[in-house]
Amino acid sequence: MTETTQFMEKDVFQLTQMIWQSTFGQSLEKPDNILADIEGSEGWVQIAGAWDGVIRIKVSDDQLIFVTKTMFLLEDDPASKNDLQEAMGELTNLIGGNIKALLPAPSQLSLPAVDLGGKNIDLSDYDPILDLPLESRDGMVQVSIFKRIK
Amino acid sequence: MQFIEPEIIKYVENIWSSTLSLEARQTETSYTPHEGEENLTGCVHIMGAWNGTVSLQCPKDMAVQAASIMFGLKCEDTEMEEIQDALGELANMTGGNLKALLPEPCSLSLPTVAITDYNFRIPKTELITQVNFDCGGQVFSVSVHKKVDNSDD
Repeated sequence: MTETTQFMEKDVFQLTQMIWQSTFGQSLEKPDNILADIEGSEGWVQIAGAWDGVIRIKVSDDQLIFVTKTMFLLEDDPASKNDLQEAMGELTNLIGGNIKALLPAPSQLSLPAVDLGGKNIDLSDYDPILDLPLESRDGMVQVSIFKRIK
Repeated sequence: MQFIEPEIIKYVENIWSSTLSLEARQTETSYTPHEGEENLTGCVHIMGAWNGTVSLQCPKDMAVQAASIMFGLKCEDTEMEEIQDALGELANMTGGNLKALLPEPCSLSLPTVAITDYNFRIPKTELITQVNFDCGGQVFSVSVHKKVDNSDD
């Protein structure tokens, strides 16, 4: 792992923890065991400008339900597919927007795209530069950064 | 008439003809993938003076056919990476042409391609144009989503 990636890992970890605590009232920690890509849903935003790449967020199914119910104050109501997609988009935009602030400026953030039960978007034009699996009591979150191959 | 619909039809017909030597024609038949079916979506984001997404949705079989033509392979020999590359390239060409019609300055993202069970969505946008095409009996669609004005970012 490069020095840049270490720097990003520390900062991305801190800001994701901050977002989780302030938005969802839970702490996020690094899991004891390193896992492969988590099963669940994914959202991604693209950054274009002085830095070009993709921020991808994956969450486990349980985590997405928790995030959606908390975000939309659903309490005992079930989360609809539309609610889950909206929440996944909001979460991706929130984390992606904060990560963008750590990257060289000026750059632009795309709209988020989401895929429930996603099977991994094709990112063959990008180098993975950070993969940060995290967990809370409600499930897994994975923050990954991919840099465009010049 | 939907937003830039004639241009979408013209560009898609040209791209399919020049890149794949296939005839794509607008159809009234809607592309309606069924839950559980494997479908692919290729999309490019447009960012700047105009913000939105151009996406191309198609059944996997059509993407396989496009990949086999682009890479000179038999359909059964195409790998998923080639299939995704082919769809990404088609989305990139379509989005790149349409970007030229939109307010400047704008930048076009690289394409991303998702294999989806019809659970793909672009939140915070509204669908402003969707055009369906028939290519040898297979239906696919090109959609333009525009960022909603009340979005705060």
